Amino acid sequence: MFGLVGLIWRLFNFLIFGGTVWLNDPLYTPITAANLESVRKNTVWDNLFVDTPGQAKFRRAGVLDPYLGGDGMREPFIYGRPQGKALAPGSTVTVTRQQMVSGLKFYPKAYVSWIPIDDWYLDDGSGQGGVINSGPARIFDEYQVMIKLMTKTINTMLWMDNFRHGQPAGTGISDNRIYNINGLDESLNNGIDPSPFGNIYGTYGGSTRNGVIGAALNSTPLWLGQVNSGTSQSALGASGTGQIDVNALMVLWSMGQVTGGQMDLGLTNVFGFAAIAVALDAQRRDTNMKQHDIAWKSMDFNGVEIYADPLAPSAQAQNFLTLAPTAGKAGNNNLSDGAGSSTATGTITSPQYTSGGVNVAVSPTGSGFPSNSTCTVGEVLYFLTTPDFRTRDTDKEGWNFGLRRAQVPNNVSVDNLFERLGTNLYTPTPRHSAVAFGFAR
Amino acid sequence: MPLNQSITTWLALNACNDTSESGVTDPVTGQTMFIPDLYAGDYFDLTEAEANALSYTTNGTLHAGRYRRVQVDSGATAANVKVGTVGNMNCAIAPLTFNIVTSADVNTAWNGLHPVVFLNTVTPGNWCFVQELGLATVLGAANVGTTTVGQIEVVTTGGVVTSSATFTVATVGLSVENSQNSKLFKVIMDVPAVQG
Repeated sequence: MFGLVGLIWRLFNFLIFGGTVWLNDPLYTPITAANLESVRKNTVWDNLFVDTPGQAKFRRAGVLDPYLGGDGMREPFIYGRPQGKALAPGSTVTVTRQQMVSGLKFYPKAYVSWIPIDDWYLDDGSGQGGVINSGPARIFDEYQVMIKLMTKTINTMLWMDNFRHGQPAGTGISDNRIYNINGLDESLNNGIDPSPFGNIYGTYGGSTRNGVIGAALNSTPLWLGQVNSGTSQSALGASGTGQIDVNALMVLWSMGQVTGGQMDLGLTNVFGFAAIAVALDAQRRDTNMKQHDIAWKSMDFNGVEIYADPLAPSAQAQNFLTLAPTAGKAGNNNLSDGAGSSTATGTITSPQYTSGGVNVAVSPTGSGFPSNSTCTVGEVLYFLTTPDFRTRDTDKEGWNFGLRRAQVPNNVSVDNLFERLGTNLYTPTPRHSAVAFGFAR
Repeated sequence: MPLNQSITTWLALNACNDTSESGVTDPVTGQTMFIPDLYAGDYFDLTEAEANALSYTTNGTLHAGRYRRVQVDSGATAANVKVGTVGNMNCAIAPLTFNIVTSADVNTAWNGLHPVVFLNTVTPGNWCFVQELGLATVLGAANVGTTTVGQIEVVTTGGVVTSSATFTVATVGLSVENSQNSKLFKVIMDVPAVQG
């Protein structure tokens, strides 16, 4: 009977008030009126960003070399030698001198993350604002979270850009990234073979590869995929991914070692790491896996500590990490590099190789690339000599993760907040490091 | 409301179907929560990269232009407020405002009056962003045919666009890619800029 009365009362309200009033009258249910939600204060779980072992290893390797100012960053390097030979005592020679040194030049690149903040809602720690986000009802300090997320955003952009390049579009380079740091894609290249992102970098640090300085700045990429060459750029072959194994790792190690490199850091995506671990395990190789059943921190290979880096280039990571430019619903719930892109790999096109002016089916550089082929990049593995790298963060506080707060002049409560970093990351000796790609798990 | 180049959008510009102008509604009372800097009539200009970054790609990629925070009039035809359709200001509202728009079918005499391009499906009565200048994506009529770049595009029945030999009051812009029947294509909007 009570239920019937209640039903009639609700129906009456529905007819009179359009079906809306009784839903919120009374406004709160007994449960919501009497209880707060169970929530742990000052705890916010991060379900977007990822930490990267590569950055941690670089820091520990002491690659930070503060940029104190000046007209770019100069790195002198040797590419030539004086003349000399074994000869008969008493011989006369014509003594000549040729240029033996030149320099690389890089420029500081600006990274900024921004957000509007309003002191009606937020308090910046001064206690002057934050009408809403303050007091005992505040679950967490959203201003602090915003600052932290700006730092994480810059770090993510930087580390993704570390695997990309910082050159303008031009011959051999399809994408313009002049505002980005001069990352591994351009440093570990030889001006002849394509990089993991499909570019062929004829210069590095402004110096022309394979010209007067010869191969001084070359690092030859190693192709591990199938070798199916096409007959021309309009009749491309298709080369899928291949297998990584001890032989491939030894070749990659050799390419850096033969130039005097002391490679100590291996970086690959988690899925590249898995491919290596599975391949080596299948071959019953001792890979010196640390804490094998507890945490796969790294694998040692000839003194190279290989780490699984979630932001390193990969074909598979994008299935599990939300990577730009596939925007989420809000347009910002993805991980992006400094150009709105990411490190997801795809396919690249190899050029028509020649040797002595004659077309050949395979690259003459020892890279293993087929001519005229659509190559599936898959996973990528870097062997790096970390002491060779330079992270050039500015020493100026305002641009070393410094904050600039700009008032919006005609707004009663909103300021613009910018977190800024001036930096670059490069290596003056690309030949001491190497990259291999074209394999899959 | 002034040109506001510092703005909180909460979501991608083409994913907003909000019950309040600020984008934040109290879940209990249903009242608007005024978090500063998002109000009716806020308009702002975006570069191509900025517009791309503020896109929910399921609803398409946005391009360089001017965007505005508006309310879709509760009398609009819901089926005609969707990606690429054109709407206009509701001239029956007093005082007149650019910030309450309606679907093109409500009164065809209003079609040339502050035409805007809808970026996503919006429930009549709710709030969203619309594009009013720049490089916009519009929906071609079922009989627009395949036309070449540079055609004059005018709004027609249901808010879709069709090609015209001459500029008319219903002109939305000039096509910058070939149109196809019932398909989205880009135009450069060729309409007066408005303030307020």
